[in-house]
Amino acid sequence: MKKNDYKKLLENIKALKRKLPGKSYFNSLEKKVEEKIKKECLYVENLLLDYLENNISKSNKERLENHIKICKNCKKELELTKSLLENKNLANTDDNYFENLTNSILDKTIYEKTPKCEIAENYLIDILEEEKVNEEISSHVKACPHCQKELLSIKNLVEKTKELEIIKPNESFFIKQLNSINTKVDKINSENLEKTFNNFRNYMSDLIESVKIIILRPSTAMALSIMLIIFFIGSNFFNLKENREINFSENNLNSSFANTEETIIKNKVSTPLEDEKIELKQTGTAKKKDDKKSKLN
Amino acid sequence: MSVISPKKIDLELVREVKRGNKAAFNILVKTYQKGFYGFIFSMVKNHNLTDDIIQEAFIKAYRKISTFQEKSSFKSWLYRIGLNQAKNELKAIGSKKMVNFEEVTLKVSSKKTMEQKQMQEVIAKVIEKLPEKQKTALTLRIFENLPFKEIAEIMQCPYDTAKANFRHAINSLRKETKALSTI
Repeated sequence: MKKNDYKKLLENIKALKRKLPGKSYFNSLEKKVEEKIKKECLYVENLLLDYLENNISKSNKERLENHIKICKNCKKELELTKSLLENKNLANTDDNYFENLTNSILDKTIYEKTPKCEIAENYLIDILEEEKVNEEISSHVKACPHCQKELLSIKNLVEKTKELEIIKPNESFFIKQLNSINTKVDKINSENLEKTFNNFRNYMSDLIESVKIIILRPSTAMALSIMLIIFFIGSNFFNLKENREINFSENNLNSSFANTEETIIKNKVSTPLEDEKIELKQTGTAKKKDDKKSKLN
Repeated sequence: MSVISPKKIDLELVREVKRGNKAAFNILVKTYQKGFYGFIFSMVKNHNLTDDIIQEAFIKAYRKISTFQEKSSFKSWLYRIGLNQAKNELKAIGSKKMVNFEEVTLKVSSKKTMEQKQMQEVIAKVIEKLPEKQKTALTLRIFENLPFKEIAEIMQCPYDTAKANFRHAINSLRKETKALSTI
């Protein structure tokens, strides 16, 4: 099929699409035909130099000439190549032209996109951000010129974006803002103080109220009075007991104190008294001995 | 000597504020005021409204400092309060339409060549047109240099969603600037 035929086909498809809107089938068909036409462009582009140097087969020459009649882009390309060959406009040609030419050649050769690149494209930002990425993808990106180029262009874009600045007011604005925030904070603090004071007051008054309510109830009053009575009686009873215990212990203390006194006296008081006592004791014992003797007798 | 990270300093300051130290809060405000302004201004695009939102957010943070759990950084906590505040304000204004919104929130640096300036202008325009979430993610990542974990905390969304928003933003930037870079 020649390009003309494809063009006609495309027109027909478009006409059908208009008549039968909503049929997605025609969209894909249209795309396919358009791709075919593009392919024709690619085929013709390769023939341009040969055509200009008259080094071309008849059939190809016909095909090229037919295509150029329809395709403006290829016609332009042909003219440009012709002028380049004739060395007429070379001096006037823009540097960008050569740069773009080399870029486009590079794009078509080493930077060609593979199906893997399409998958990896979604992870380029993750790689740039040093996030964890599937090892297969990261190793592909490291090795693939296309992906490396894309990565670099994203990096450049981010850098360029970083150079932008968000418009901000001058320093005095921020000082003013800080001051107004500070005054608001002070207000909050004083409010909080007042609040805590009020809360404390309310709490106390509530407490008093609740105590009042509890005391004023007849049942609680009765219970309280009974408890008080029991308490008094109990405490009196214990007091009595304690008094007794204290008296008792006091007596003990007194007696023990007396004993100690006696012993001290015994130890310390000088001999005449002691001698008397000893004598008494001795006489006592003598008497006892006499009694025993008399009893024995 | 070990260097103390800003996050740790913030947490120490927050503890001081919790104890009632006003000066500590003053330092926190001074530290985050400017970045916070940029973030809010890029969203609401109005100077006075931004000022109101920032003051309100700082006051809210001060009032609720006792509820701040030290799981996240103070910055992301503050920004989250600001973001919610801004959303509420925009909602309230949406019905009234009384506020004039600035068209541009980004400034092109003056030290560049014409071409670079042109490129930056295009980038700025594309950023202004981005959907809200993408723009928020982009602003926080690029202009505030926050990690995605904190961006997710501020935007109250999962980690991957924050990252996806950023990726979409970058992709649309690339699409728009691709044509320019090939000229």
